[in-house]
Amino acid sequence: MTAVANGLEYAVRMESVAKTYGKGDAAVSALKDVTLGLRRGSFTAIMGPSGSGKSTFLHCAAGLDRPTSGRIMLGDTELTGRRESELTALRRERIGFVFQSYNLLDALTVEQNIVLPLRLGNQRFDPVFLAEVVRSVELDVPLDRRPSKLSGGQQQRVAIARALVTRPEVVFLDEPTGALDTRTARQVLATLRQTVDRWGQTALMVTHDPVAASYADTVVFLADGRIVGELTGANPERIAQRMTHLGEW
Amino acid sequence: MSVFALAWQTIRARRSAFAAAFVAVFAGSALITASGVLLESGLRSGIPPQRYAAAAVVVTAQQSISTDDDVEQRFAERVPLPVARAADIARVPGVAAVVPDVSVPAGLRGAAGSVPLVARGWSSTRLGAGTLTGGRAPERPDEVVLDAGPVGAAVDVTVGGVASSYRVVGTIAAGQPSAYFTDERARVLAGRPDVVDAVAVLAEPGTGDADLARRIGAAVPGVATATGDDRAAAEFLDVGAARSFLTVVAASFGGTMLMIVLLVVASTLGLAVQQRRREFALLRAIAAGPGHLYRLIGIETALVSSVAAVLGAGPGVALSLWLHGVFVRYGSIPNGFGFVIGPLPIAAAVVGSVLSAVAAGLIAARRAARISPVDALGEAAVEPPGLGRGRVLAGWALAIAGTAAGIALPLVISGTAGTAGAASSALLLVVAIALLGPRLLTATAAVLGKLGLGHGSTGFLAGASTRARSRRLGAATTPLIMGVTLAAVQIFTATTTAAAARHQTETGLLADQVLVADGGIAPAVADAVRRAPGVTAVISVVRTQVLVTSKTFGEPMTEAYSAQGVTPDGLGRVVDLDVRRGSLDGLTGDAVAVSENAAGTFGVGLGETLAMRLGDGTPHNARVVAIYGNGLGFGDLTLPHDAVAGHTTSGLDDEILVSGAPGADFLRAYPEIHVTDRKSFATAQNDAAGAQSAVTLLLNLVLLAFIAIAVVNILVLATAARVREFALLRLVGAKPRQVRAMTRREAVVIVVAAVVLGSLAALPPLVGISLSLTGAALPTVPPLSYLGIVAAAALLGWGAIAIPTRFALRPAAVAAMRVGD
Repeated sequence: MTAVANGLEYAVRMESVAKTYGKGDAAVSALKDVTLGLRRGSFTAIMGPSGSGKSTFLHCAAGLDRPTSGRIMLGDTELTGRRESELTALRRERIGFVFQSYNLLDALTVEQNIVLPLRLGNQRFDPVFLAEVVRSVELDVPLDRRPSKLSGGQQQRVAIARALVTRPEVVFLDEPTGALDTRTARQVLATLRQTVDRWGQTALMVTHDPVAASYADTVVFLADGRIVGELTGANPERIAQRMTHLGEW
Repeated sequence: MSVFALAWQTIRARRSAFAAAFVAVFAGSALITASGVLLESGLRSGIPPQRYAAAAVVVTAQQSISTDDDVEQRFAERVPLPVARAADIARVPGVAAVVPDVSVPAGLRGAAGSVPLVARGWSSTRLGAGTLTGGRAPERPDEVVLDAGPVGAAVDVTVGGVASSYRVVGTIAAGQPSAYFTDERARVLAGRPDVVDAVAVLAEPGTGDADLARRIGAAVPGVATATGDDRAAAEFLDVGAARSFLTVVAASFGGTMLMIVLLVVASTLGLAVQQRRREFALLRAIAAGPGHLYRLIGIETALVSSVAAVLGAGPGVALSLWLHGVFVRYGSIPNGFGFVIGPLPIAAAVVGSVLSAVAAGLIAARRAARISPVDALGEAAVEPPGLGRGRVLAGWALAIAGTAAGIALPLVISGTAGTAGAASSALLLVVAIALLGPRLLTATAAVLGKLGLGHGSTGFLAGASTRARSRRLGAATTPLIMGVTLAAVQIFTATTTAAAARHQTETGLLADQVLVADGGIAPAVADAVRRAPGVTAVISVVRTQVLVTSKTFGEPMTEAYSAQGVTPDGLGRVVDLDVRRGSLDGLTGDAVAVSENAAGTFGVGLGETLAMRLGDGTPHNARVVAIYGNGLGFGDLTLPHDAVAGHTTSGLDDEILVSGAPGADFLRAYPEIHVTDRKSFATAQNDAAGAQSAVTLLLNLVLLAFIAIAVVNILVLATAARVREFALLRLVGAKPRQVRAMTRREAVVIVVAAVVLGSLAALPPLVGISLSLTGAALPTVPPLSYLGIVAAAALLGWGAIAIPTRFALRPAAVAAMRVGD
């Protein structure tokens, strides 16, 4: 396969990525030789017990952290070996990110939070498109409200809207429903699924919740820094069962 | 533009986050404005002339000289103008009349003693000071016009204690007690018949003052002309002194203060940026590059500091007015000397404050720009592990340099260079403390922990908390340490100097009695004392200042030094100057004795020649015949009486030191003379010096007040940000009482660190200054003053932590946990 063909087919590609923290005796291997490709338009969930390296995986894939070895490609652009300023520009324009909590700047209104990446990148935003994004995440609060006045679910919807507003190649989500109650979590996940389907958006979600993972097309299992399994189209019970028996391969 | 919008929005939405920076810049701007007003007033202000108001131009001799280092050095004594010049001035076109003017402090002997008045020549009445109300003007040397009759009475008028008889020929209504003689007689009373104080020029109508002054200056070489407010400098000698006092104070005080303001603003901004780590981390993660953060923080700082700086100018002006009152009260500037409050100091203060705040903000932004989003977005907002190596190295380098400068320099270089080196060591150590702050705090916490403060649950929590947030606490402790150091150095330098001077005066003065009089004592009186029975030794003393040019670090510097002129006979019986080398026996002719400190500054040794300018600017070369130790008590140079006496304003002696007692008969013949004993005289001398150091002390108190504000500011900021931490502790099981106890332990660590480290940092400069000034390594530290400093530091540190803690504990714990940063 040529590189261009790779770029067309895979939104994100990680090749033999390893990440070690610390030096000498205190060195900790968070990721060991991970190879994974995310097809465009796919919604993938990464699951694993604590210490499996899933957050590290996410950070490396998004260009937030540099791997110790290996290659990471975003579309046809190589992320590894780039300067911080280039990575920042890439993050701003071609990647969307949703954290578990603390996603929004308290000083800005909802609308200002959503368009923040565009404004900092000096790009104009289309009000029609903005309205469409707001509609698609089913956000029903006035746009001039401040985040501290929103509920947890509403805050996450705003965060998702911000992640989508730049029409990124990938949206990364780090435990997006971890701080929400079950009902709100399901609502947010359903909205996320709908948006991903409607727009053909590639998404990668880290989670420990089998119910959340079941909303994705594919669930990838990480343990001790390696990919140890994959499930496609499974229901929460099967996912939970697979999680329980992760060590027994 | 969008970064600007983001900055503006952030400030509007979260005003309280910027409160600390606002306060710091506000206070700093006030201080800078006050210094600016002092400086401008020193350069431009003055008193309007009073007696000379009617004169278009006042002509005097040159009262200052331009020295090698481009500084105008004023002569301490009035330089008289030869009276012959009056004729030359009269010939200049545009001059209607010339008034040769001389003023002599005198006394009118009456039944109740001597009434002080001013004696002048009759020509001076042409300036409009008074009008004849009876009789006529004086025409003969023994005639006088007084402000009280009766005409025809015989009166005794004394100058310097020597009385002469006169007949009252007229009366005059004048503003102050005066006596008018013939012009010639007035000049004789002044001591030198061929000179006057000044020549006041009355102009023909339609002549411009400035033009006339220029023409006079061109026509009569070697004179100085004054118009407008400058005329007051000729009328009141202390106006010129006041101007240079203000300029010097503003320059030295302003310089130190600017540095302190910079350090404090940098500390505050650094802490404020630190507390917004999560916000910056989020920005870095999703959209903002390092450049964006620099711009964001720069714009925020510029906006906040602009408002704060402008608002601070008002209190700054009020502060300068308060200082004006203080200076007048302590006699540093004359009453009626107005301050100039123009736009220039205010503009300079605002621009300076904003620039320094933005610079400090950009330095703080550097750390924000390097935040790794991954680390900072984690739940625990942990600090980076250690200080940068560069910072630690720089800190230790400065600490060593500062200590060496303080202790070693004065041993190697003597004189003012050594003293300056010791003082600069204080500055070096203060900056070193600012750089090493967090490390020092952690070390203190460790030591205190070993000493038992780490016991119990609260101790453990406090210790862990201090270690983990050493950088944040360091930002808060640094100003407190700086305050302790500066307070200690300033106060104890003053006490050391004063104690040394007092000691020298008390041990050095051997005379049984000291004779003084208002306005001085005539040499004839001293001769009379010498002839009086019961007197074994009599020394006449004239006090003045001389200008000496010396090389400091290769640069020539001209400074005024206190000097005394003494008669040599029997000197050793009344004064012990603690002669270390040479002998005072040869103190005649062109000899001079120099204090050890001054000899080091001048770089002269025994037998070498010293070039100087006497009080009125006359050049004088003298041979060093002795080097003595009691320079603080008696003056840096001791010259023969005759070399100095003719070069002072009054030409009279300042005091007469007597071994033995002249007896009651003698004193009755000279009612103007007062007798003081050794102790009161020494006290009086030290009081005068005390007023000078009181002013210095007050200025430093202003600086310390600023540091106090900064300390409180930072500690409140740091404590208020711990709402979540306290809430977590309470949810985990700690009672509010225990949380308060924990913060009290932290306060103890901070206060102990501040007092111990601050005192340690103050030691090298104090030891150095003590060595340099007195030769003894031990500075004088009054225990009460030191305890005062400790108490102030403890109160500040304690209060600034305990009170915000109470507020931080108020919200319900569960709700507080969800509070964003």
